[in-house]
Amino acid sequence: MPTPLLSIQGLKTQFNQPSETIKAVDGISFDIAEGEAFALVGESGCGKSISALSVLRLLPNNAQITAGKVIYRGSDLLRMPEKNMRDIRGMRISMIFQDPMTSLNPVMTIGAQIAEAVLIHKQKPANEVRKTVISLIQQVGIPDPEERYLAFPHQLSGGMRQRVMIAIALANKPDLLIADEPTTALDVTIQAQILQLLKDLQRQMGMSLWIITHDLGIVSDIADRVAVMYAGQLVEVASRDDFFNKPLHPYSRRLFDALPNIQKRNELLVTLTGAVPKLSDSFVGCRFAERCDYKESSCTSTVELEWTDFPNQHRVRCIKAEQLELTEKSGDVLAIPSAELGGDSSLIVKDLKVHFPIKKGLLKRTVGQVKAVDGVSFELAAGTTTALVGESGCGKTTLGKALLKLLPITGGDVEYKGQNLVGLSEQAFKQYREQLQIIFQDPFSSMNPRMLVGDILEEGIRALQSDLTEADIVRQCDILLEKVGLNSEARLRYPHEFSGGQRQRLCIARALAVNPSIIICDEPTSALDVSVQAQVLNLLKKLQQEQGLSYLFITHDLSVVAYLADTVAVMYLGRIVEYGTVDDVLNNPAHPYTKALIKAVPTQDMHVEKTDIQYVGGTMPSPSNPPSGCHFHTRCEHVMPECREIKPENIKLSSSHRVACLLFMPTDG
Amino acid sequence: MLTLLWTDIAMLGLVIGVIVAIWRSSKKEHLRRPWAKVFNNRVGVVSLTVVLVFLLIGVLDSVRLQHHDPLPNGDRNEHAQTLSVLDIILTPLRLQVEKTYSQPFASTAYSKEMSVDKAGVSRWTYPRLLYGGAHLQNPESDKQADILSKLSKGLAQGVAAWCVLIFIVWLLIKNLFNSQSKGVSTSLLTLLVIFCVVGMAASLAPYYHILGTDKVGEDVLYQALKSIRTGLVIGGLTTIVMLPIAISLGLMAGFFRGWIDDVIQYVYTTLSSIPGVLLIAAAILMAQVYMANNPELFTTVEERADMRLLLLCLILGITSWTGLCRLLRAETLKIREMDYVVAARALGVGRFQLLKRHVLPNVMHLVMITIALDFSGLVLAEAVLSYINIGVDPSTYSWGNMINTSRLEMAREPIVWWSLTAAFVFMFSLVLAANLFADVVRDAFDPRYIK
Repeated sequence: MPTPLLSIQGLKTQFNQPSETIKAVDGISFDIAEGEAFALVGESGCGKSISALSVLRLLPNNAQITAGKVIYRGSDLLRMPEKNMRDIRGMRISMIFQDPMTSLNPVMTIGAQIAEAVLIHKQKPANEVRKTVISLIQQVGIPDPEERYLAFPHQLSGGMRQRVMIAIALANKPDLLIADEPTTALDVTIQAQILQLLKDLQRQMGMSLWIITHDLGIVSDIADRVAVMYAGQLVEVASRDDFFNKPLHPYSRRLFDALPNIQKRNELLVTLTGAVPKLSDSFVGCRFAERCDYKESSCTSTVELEWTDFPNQHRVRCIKAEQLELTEKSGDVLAIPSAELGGDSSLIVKDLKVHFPIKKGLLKRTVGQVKAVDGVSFELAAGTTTALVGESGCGKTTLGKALLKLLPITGGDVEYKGQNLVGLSEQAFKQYREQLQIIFQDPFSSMNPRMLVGDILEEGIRALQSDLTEADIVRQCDILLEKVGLNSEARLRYPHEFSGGQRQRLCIARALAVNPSIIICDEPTSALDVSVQAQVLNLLKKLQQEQGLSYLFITHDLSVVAYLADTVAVMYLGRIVEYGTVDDVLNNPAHPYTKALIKAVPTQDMHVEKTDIQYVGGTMPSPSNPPSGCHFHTRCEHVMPECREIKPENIKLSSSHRVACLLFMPTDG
Repeated sequence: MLTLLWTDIAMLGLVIGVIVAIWRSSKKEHLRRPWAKVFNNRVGVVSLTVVLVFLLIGVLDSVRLQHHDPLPNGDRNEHAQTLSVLDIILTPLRLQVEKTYSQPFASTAYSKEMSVDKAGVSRWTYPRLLYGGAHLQNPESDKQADILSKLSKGLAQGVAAWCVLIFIVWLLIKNLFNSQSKGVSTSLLTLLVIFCVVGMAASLAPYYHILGTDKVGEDVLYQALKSIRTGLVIGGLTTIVMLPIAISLGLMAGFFRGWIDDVIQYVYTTLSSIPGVLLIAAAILMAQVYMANNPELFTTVEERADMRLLLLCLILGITSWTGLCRLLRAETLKIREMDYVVAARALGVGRFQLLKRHVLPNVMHLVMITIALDFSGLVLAEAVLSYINIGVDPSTYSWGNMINTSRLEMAREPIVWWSLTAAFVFMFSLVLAANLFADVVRDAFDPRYIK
């Protein structure tokens, strides 16, 4: 076996805090070969990013590397003087970070920022630097490199900025590129472009890639080898094919089981019990034992678990790996709701418009309109789920908020129980507030940090029923907390004392406090880990069963759509381009945009052939100045001349399926 | 008989308000927790104790009684004076007025004078002081031993008084020493130090001018102690004037936007572009003219001085709300877009409740920091304003006035340093203690810091 490019041996990193020592990385060892793409997978808080930062010695001040070696081309990076280390960083090993919005300096042109990276290690004449920089910008697939050289970061979209970050990282032709969740902050279509770019660059330059992610889809898309991290340790290392065909560690298995998909629609998702253990604890034996279904007393009897080796360099840290016959576990089957729920309580949205005026000048005159939602129609039947899918900036969230009258509606009708809600005054609308509720994406900003959980829940109860006694309210709070699977002690605690998943449950409890019939879920699981997402999805599904709730589920994650939704609306720049049942839209997509979205989702299914997929190029145009005719014509691969002029009308493909695309125009002349 | 001036009423009202607020919040579990944290923090407890001692002096100085000073022959003086409780406690300091400057612990005046002795020979000597070290026959040789003995006596008295205090507290709360709280022991230790200092000062003060005397021979320690009230009034009252304006306008501007925002922004931009000193000078001059034209409304010198102090607080408050208002507007703009505010709107919560429950508590840290910074700033501003004669009335005791008068003597050789030093030490300890305490409180109340 040839010497690996980078070899990490028994690396331990800990955070020293006055109250406790957090062992963020606790003895990880793996090798990255030349030209290999290595993926480190795990849930948040298991120490993935810290291990990458440890390798580059970029740790915060209170962190300390206590043991281990990082051998790069024969020398130990951890024992190298800081001066030599600077030559390694950026030169031989470079890193890109998750958030492209904050990793670029907003007051420097991107050309200057890339040039800085080029010049840091060797001096070159100015015109040569410019040439190098422009070729780098070209290499990462940014059009018009000459013009972009002088652009500032705020003039570029998120995907473009991530490309600039990659260009900076590549400036010195490194041997190893560390990518820490490089696409998490990006849309699916952009994510697909960036992943493709990384793959191409890796192939061209022959460099190694160490990608850190929580998304198994990305892993299967890009990695050659995979390591799974859990509570500061690696639990499984395998080649991609072995890992996806036959994961051996119970934790890896459960990660796959927790992924939602269309086959699991009628059952609850399998979830892991409990939570990731605190890294300040001291462990005996297997760290996963507490949450493992195959636990035995021997799992926690040895102090430190050894690796079990399998053929093809497949290693698992589980003492029972050889005996275990891990099977795909499926959750409890949900009973199909028997009774038809009140048919009249469906929400019918007709031609809804939400326009924001653009004001300019001293007198704030309106000079234009942002058509955030531009004539949207759909129906949300009682007890069902409608998913609203689209990239960020397409007006999904605006639509959701406008339905609750949290934003002013410009035109159209929203009909509920035979009443048009649009024309109602705030006072008259108040009685419908209890019917319509909302859950937000970010579980951290959606609860007032200075209110007790009890007060947060109470607020909803009191706002609509002001005549309750104190004891009644406490009882109702307890019932609500129990419904979302939390202890009644939670009432006297502050939101920050809960984890992301628990907070999202609290948000659901707050929405349930008023007994709504419709809940608008604005990406409620996109900030959560896979296993926690499964818990929240199960809860939502269970509540729908028990209480006949309807959900308007706003998301960009098509696997969640497949699992949860009954009907799907695909939105692009304020318009619904395709609408139909889950089966119609996901299995027989008609609109080119829907097809592109589905293609862009990385899937962990190894059988899907994905060699020459043409991903949708470009980024979404600004909604303040949308393209004429069909909004999608700038990115569409089937674009026809008339697409630029005619706004496509809805065309019925079947009784439940409609699409807005000129390709499906009946050719009647 | 009790007589109260306007600032006394405001001061006492402020103290009572704070006590009521503490009493009410002590009943709520989630508010008791952060306070328990404050009391477990050594810095917090020490600074709180110091602030409370300052506050006690201020309160004692705000309760005014009709007092009849005893005449030298022991009879009751028919002419009553309005004096604060503090004045009565400090009677020896108040009445032992020398002719002019004297150094701390001096027994002779600071400058030589021509005097005629018994033999009728005029000599150029340092005359003996009327009170400072007057009990000594031979100051040069006896003074040091006398001071030491008085110090140790005072120290013993201080410790004894502290023991009595502990005993009383122990009678009230039996399990005092079993509690795990660091706060009680820290507070008692701080008090021990304070008691010792007070005991020593109390035993020395009737015989010496501990901090010397000023130009008209008044005891500097007395002046410094009397100035505490002025400092607290300026810091506290101005904040009370400024806070409601800043908070209500800032929240309204940020929350309602539209024309309300425009109007409020125009008001504070206009106000903050007028130099504050100009406004204050104009207001004070107007007040002086008014007082001169209506002598029947202000019968005593004290009333006039008090009205001027109150007016100064008012005008300082009116000129200083713009900074906080701007901050609060910006923060409110951010918070109104937060998901939890949107969620509350979706629940049908009214606008006033939204502001009260969701916005206000989340901007309170800004208010706290601003109060702490402004308090020290205001105490210092008072000194600056007194310098250009638009501050408090020259007859009011204040650190600003002390600094201002001693400023003129800085060029003297040898230098008169004690007034300035006394004002500095007192001002410094109050401002430092207040800042440290505010810091601890803010940390304890920020839920994001609770781990």
